[in-house]
Amino acid sequence: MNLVYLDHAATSWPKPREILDAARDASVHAGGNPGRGAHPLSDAASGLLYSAREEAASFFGGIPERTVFTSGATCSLNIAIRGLVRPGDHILFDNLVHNAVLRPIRALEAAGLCTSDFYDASGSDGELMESLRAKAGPRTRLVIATHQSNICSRILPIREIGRFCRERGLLFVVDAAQSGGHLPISLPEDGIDALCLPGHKGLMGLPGVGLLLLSDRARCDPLLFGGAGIRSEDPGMPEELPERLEAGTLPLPAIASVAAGIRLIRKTGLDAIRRHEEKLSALFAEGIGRMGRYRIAGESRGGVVSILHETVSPAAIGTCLAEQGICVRTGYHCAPLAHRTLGTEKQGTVRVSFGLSNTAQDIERILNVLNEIDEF
Amino acid sequence: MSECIITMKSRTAAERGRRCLPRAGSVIVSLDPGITGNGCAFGLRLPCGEVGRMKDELRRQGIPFGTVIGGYGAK
Repeated sequence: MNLVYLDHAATSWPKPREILDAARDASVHAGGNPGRGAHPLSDAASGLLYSAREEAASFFGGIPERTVFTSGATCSLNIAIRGLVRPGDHILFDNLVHNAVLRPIRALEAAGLCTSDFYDASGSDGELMESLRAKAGPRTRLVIATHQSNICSRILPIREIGRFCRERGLLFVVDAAQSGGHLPISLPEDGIDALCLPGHKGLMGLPGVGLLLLSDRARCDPLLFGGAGIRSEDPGMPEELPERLEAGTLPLPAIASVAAGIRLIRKTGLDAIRRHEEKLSALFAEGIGRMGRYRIAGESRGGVVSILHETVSPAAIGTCLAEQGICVRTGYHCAPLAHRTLGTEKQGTVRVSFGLSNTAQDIERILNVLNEIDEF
Repeated sequence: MSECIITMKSRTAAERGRRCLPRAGSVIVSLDPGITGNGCAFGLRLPCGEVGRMKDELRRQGIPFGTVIGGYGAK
């Protein structure tokens, strides 16, 4: 059965040859432990690691020393949220957040370390900014924004939010799990203090790597403690970044694959990727519009589109699609608050998400199956 | 030719240092933990004659470094 992969919001697939080659080359030619010693294989590994930092830093407007590799976007968000918040702080987050944002905040609240509230991202950008201004108080220290929802194509105005944070002296954390590698992001221009993203989604790398890029003013405490390759006599983690936030051995083959992904994106062009995804989503939305009993939840002009059927549950639709070799994700997508915001909290949605590898034929195939379900 | 070592604050700083002046031909080396007094560390080994230029460049690029140890392998 020929697979149609439309679950790029979960992870990218298939991995381009350049990505797999980079991971294999790192394993073969730079198989030492980066930052642990100076023998030839460790030296090659350290050099490759630093090159990957440079690649990621320059792509997002950061600096290599403040570009931290983590185990994924969830880890990056946990480090940023837990590492930047001080006792008594107030956190503001949008109501499209993923549990990778919500749960660390809830855990801090349960420990009595902070309070929080959400600002409303369900309306226009102007309404969002109004809500944010209204909710920011004297104890607010951190503002978190989901750059792009993982349920629909809603994109938050991060540059405007970043400007607001700078004016108020607030720290700004961006969850770029769905936008990294799809939308332009610049740490200085967007006023971001902590940019959190995975390596395996839009950046097309292997799973197991995330990125946390920090601004000059973000003083982030570590979440993990352990070996860092330097200052082993000190009881605490070293002050130097990125080592301070990178306890333990880093997965260099996966990191090398992420760097290769960034090079591939540069070569292809972010605009071209975006245009491709918008073309596919428009085709899909148009097809859905022709059928009688489907509706689209939230915005659809982008890489992620969610649909609902009047009578058939998302889970049942997902099963029918899977039986035909079509890969989508159904349910809550680990974002129950976002589903409440979109009014889809009853059963969640069927999420269809597009990537560089998809074609118009893929859209035709899924629409045919969805049409059969509709007419059943 | 005598060789010196510039001690570096981290492996990342050492990598950055090595790249900031490729003509100096520096090599990253592990340092004896006893040298720093607080555990494992790294340094840039290079000809002693290049130390001045390298230090200037490190300062110019804001790369933190420590003391200079030298000279080894004097000929």
